[in-house]
Amino acid sequence: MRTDALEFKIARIDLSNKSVNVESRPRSDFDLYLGGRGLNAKLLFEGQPKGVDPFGPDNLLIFGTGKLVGTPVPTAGQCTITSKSPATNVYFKTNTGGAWAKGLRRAGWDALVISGVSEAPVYIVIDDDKISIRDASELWGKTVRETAATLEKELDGSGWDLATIGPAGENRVRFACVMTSLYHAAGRGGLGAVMGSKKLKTIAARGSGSTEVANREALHAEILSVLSKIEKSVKAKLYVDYGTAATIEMANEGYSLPVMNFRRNRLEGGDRLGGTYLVEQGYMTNGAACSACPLACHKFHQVREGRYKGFSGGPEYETLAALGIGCGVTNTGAVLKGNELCNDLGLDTISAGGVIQWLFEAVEQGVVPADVGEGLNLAWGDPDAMVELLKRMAHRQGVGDLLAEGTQRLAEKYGGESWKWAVEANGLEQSRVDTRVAKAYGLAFAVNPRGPDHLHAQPMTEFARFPEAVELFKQLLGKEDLPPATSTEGKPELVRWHEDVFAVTDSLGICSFATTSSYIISLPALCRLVNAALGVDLDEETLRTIGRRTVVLERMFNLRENPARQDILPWRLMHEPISEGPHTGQLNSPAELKEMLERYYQLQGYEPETGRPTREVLSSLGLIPDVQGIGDVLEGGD
Amino acid sequence: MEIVVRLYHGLNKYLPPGDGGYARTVTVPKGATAANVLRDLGVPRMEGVVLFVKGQAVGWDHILEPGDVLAAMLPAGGG
Repeated sequence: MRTDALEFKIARIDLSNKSVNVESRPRSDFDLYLGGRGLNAKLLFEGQPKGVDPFGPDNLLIFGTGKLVGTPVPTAGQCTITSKSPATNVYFKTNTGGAWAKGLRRAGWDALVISGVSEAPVYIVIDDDKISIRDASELWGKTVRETAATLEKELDGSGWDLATIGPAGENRVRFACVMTSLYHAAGRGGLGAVMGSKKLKTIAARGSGSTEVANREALHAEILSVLSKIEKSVKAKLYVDYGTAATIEMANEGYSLPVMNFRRNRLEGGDRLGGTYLVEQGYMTNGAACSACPLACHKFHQVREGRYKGFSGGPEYETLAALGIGCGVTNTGAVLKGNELCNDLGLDTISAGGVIQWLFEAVEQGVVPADVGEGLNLAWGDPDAMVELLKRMAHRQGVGDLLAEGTQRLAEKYGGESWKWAVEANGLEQSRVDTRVAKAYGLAFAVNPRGPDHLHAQPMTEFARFPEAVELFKQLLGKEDLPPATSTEGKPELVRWHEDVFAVTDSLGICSFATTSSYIISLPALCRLVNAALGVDLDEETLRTIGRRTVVLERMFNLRENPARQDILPWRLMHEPISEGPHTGQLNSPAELKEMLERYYQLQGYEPETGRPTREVLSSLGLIPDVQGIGDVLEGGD
Repeated sequence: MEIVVRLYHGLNKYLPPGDGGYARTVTVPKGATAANVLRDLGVPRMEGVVLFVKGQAVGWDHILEPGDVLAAMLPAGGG
């Protein structure tokens, strides 16, 4: 390996003055943050002051790949995008797969730091070390697929991959996403709207370089070991055969499915959105893998006839639950159409579905007049209303203009008691996990700097449903007798492990489905992979500490932005108990959440009352003195 | 006694012929366990199969009661 392989090459691209500056970052950034999400967090913290407008020129939009991207390490094909979110007004990281990250890395770039606002629409072309900013006036207004089709003709040669926004991003929908490789979404938090506010339509990248590895023989042996585990893993088989859609049946039969805006927990006919049905009825056409991934969990679906006829990548469980189950829609074709529209228009399916559910309930409760739908039947289970509302919100037409602001702002506008069914916290619509029956998830969602969402820690272990999860659960609790998902026992310890390992996963550019969801790549195995690939000697504790450093840094960003921000869950989940099935009465009560938070704060070394990281913690993690200005936050400064 | 069986994730190939999507009403001996019922249907006792009775996770030795709904599937999860 080159001696500088663990240094970082980043491009700072200012769209206001169309400048590109290349910067090197030292090896110490690898030792402290690894790269990807970790480095992004540092660049964001140091790169912008408190209080910038998410849509203003000072908000940075950072694309970071990990050092494993481009190597054959299984699942190493991920890119983390980081910025201040227009939905939550605080820190946000979002992750995406496909082939985009590999292209960027093979072009020689570890990260792109984009600032400024262009006067006219532009797109960026990265062809190995050449970076150019080009006129995108012909692309503006186009959907994701139209953009790709146009650029296929305009760009020279082949091998390009795109990160692009659709009309939703252009129109600053607060939950617009960035799409990579056409069908992979950096979905949450509205970073597509940040990209749109900069008048940046697309980044096209390709690279002709290769990524060296330090110890081929050791890496080869370790990869074979991972592949062997995949072959034996029942969880991996599900990903391969059905993708994440298989979770629908599981959650429906276990009465943990968030039906109709989290009011019920099982939906008759819900299996028409499950993986079994999608495969057996011929909706699923094929699977496709992100770079270097042997799981190929991403599935493609088609509707062969009728008014929802079409083809698209996905949908994942979250989409099926958000656009289908949550809206009371069990029409398979309509949900697949909704997914296709979200991909092409550039909408986060989870928030889009959450907004629609809020509207259906608000109309039912009489808080919003039914005629805002201008001809649509805004009622539970109406497939056409769900599909049409997606178009209107992406284009900000009619009621769609309000929906584009997200659930929190909608509830503030319409008032009454509509905040009670705004299933959001800190500005983000909750992922489709009913945390009332999964207490580790409840804690993980509450302390997530993004808001109540599943991609900061994914404590699947608490369900103890497959051997790898059971083994880890026993190890973390130090006992054989495991508490159920509805118990709070041991959950802070569980969440802390998953947060650390998820941060490491994102920072290396691998996929959480391999590490914190299926546990196919255990932490010891991850150490061996990293050490063989990168020629380092990291142990489990060192990796976890690096992950925690990033978790704490992200929390410090939010503390600087908004000291009043609380670790909470949506009101409904904290105050309305489950009303059907075996989990009747379960709740994320304030007292129960407080109990878990106290233990979590204690483990993290935070102040017990406020949950603020202490100066001692910042010093012990090396954030003081490494991150400029971080200690000042504790004094109330910038 | 009669119970309802629901099978998914490929296990549904063991359902008796009939309508009802992924669910069938079957007659089983009083005191039958989940393992008895699934064995009689031909479902292999694989590691990782998840069982619910009326939504509650149970083990293979769970004793069924008339009117129970037994669901079996593989351990999905992730979004």
